Amino acid sequence: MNTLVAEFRKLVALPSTLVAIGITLVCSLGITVLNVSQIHAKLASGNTDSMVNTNLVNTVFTGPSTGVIGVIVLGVVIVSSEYTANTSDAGGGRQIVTSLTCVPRRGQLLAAKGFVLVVVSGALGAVLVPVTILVSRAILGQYARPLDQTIDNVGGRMVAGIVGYWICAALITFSITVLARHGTIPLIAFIANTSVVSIDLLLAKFTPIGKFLPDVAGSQMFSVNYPAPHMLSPAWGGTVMGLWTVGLLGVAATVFVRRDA
Amino acid sequence: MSLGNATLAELSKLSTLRGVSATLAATVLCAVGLTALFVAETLHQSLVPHQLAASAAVDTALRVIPYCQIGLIVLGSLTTASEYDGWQIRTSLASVPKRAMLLTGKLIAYLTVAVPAALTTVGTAVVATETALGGHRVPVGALCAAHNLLAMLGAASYLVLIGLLANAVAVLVRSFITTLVLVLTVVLVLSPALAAVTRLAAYLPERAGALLYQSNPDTDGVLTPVQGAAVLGTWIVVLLSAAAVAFIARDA
Repeated sequence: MNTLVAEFRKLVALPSTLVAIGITLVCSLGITVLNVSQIHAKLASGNTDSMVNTNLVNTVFTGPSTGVIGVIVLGVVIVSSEYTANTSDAGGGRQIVTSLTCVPRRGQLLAAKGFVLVVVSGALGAVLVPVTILVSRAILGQYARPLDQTIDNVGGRMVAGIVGYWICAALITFSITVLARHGTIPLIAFIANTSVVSIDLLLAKFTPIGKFLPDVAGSQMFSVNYPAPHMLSPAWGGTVMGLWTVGLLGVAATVFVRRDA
Repeated sequence: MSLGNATLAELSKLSTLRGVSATLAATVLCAVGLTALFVAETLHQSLVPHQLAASAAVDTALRVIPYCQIGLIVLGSLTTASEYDGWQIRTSLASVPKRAMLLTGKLIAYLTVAVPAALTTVGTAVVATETALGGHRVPVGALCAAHNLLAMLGAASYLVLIGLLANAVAVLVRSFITTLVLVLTVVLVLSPALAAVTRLAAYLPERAGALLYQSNPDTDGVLTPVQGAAVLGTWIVVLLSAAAVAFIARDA
């Protein structure tokens, strides 16, 4: 329990955590508000010709699916901050040495970090995704469906799916950063992969095995009109991403427990 | 100390950073790998003409630019942010107390590395496309037509400029990771997302700069390529000025 509290306090004390939460807010709420306002404006002006291909659920979910960058940053910094060398005036040491002195059981330390990450990213998702949907409804005003219909239509599945996707993405980034002991490469790789220049998305379009990549598979939990053909079902997509997460966590834990800090 | 010496010192710092050579190698390799994918996709479409139009080949090659820009952004951030990883900046300022000169030296050193790197990346992408096209190859003469060369040059300039932007942001925030997160999120995520929503997104640095090399830009004709270059230039001038003022005025 002490370890959990310690890890939580370390995480919230990092300046990068604020940046990460800011990015999550801007991406999930900001983008959705802009998107939905535009749809409202079109509906209000009666100019609906350009909206034949618009899927409202998809529009609302664009924000949260890019908001995952915030939790990816969290997954990186919760590990990489331990390995950043201090300034040479302060001895040039790394925080991981202190952390392992305080919590010599490595499995326990890693489990605490992972647990704090799951709680924080899960909480962010569990709050922000429903808020995004409610805000979208508020903006749509008279054009929004009644609340019970929205819940039927969007469904707990999609909300749970996107929150699950955030948690898995955070844990996968976390595992890779544990292996790399450095934040830069995981950060570049995972941010790029979330964006329009996603290598995974390219592979999903070109090769049949691309659909088993973690983020491609995981996106099926909530995605409508995914931009590549022949994808897994939401349940299988979630399972595949979950398996990646568990597998990578296993590798990271084994390495972390065995190697020199 | 003269500006020449300051620049040489900065160049020697850049060349000894492990991250720099790794980034440059990764950028060029990434260009080769991705062109292979893009060419495969182009040839996969039904009704591929026996010989592709030269501009289509160049367009295929330049599709790697949004990916390869990550390399130049990393290079730009590294040039300045590496000074703040362990306060090397204090040593640098003790050796070159004129702050404006130190910053100018850094920028010249960045350009010295970035210009050849960008030209190599674009050149490699074009050569790799030609190789991968195989039987559908475009004759060299057609490939070197003025408008194609202009697009390639535009792509290389864009790469150099977006790295310069990252440089300015790095001076302002003094942290490598924060610079990367900010610039990559704006360039790779927010910019395309906003473009779907508002025409004003055309004025974002990445959108405006992309006009330098895209033959079919999707900005609804808000800006012409020349205006796009001007907008990106303005972003860089504003950010660099802010960076210079901050760097000269504040405590290191």
